[in-house]
Amino acid sequence: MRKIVMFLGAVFLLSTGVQAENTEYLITGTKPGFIHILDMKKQKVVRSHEIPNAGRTVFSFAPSPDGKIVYVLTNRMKSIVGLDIDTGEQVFRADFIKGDIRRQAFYAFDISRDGKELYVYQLSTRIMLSEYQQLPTRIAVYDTSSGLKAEPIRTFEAPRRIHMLMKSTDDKWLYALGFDIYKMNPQTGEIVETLPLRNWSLKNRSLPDVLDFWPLWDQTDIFSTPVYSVKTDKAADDPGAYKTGLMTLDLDTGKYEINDFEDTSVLIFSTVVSPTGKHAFGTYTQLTKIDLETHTLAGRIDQDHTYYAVNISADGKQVYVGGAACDVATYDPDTLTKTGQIFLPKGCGDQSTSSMRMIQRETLK
Amino acid sequence: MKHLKPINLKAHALTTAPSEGDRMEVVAMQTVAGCASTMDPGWEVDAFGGVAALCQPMEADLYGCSDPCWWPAQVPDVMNSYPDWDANKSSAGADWRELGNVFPKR
Repeated sequence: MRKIVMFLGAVFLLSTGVQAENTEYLITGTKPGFIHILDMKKQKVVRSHEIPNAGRTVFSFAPSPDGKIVYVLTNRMKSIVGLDIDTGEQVFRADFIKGDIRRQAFYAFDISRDGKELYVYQLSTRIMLSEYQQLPTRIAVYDTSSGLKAEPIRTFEAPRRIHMLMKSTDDKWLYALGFDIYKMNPQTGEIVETLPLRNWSLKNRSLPDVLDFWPLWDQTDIFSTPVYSVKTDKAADDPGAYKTGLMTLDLDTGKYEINDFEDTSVLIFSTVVSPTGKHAFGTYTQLTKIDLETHTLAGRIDQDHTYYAVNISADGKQVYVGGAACDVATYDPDTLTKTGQIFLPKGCGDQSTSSMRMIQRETLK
Repeated sequence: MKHLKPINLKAHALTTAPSEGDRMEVVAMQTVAGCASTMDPGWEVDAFGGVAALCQPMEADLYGCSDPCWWPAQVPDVMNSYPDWDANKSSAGADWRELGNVFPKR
């Protein structure tokens, strides 16, 4: 009888066109080990969950495609935990350390677009009596349905110094950002293409300087990051010698480009491309607006304090900064004026270097 | 060395010159085996040689640097020897006075 009622209910919903309401949420985390789900349109925190055995640390996040689970790198980089966003229940856990081999993940991990696999870049060290034995760096792949004692279902060696993993939207490729960007076969680890960064061929130009471990491409599937370099044919005291550029990698098409947009005048830690496609925004102590059509600086304002991470609403009408200290601020993308600020609960702990991800899912009750 | 005499196996091994390829290569470590082994001196100046472009205020940056071991010289090794350094001090802005010095354990 109950099934019949449910079936009739489903038929009614379909026939009337009524659908579950969807809401956009921002996910961040704070010490000593909480995740927070924020409704940015209402400017309030709607869920806070404690991460079991977090070691007082929260690093990068990857939400499941349906927005129901968030995977968190935690426990001093030694574990990834999957939490149910609705209930806070721990539904997945991979603890990396086994015996005398210490494994830690330095931020870089991502989830497949079908939600079935996690890709985790691991640094492996054998702890011996009087020395550390460095083992090959690797990518471990976990099945997200493995529960609380997850072990890798396959591993493959990967280049050193990776700090970002990104799955292509068709799930065929895994991009790894390190000295260069390596396009890898996610089944075998074979590098099929190397997108030049350190090995770029710009003439009269220093090696590029890139630091990024903030996965912020939720709204556009375009990864972006600032790139700093020096023109070696200019005098060292010439401000025009120091260039800030923006690298973009489209995880849908594979399009990859780097364009200078200003003489370096401030630092920028992370950037996000607007869904409008016209601008990108960067944050550190200033909020920076970059014109993507003319590759020029479009605006800049001082923020209340340094923020590490920047993200944006799906309609491109709100820019969010957070990922440091214990608040998330909202800015108007046109005027760069602050329109909101949310202080995070549970003691206002530091976000440290927490990711700031955006999800759209059925509205949380 | 001729006046020194090895008295244990490890010291003895040091006195016998290994031939090429007999020993493992020494390679630069990646980060995070422990903060103390991270070859990163921390930030005393910014990219412009001043301090204006350092994080503001420094409390906004303290855990962002110490959790991933970017500040090995300035804070205890939270990865290995002092994992409880930040216990009950989740807000650097509010708790910075409690983030104290540590001393080698005996």
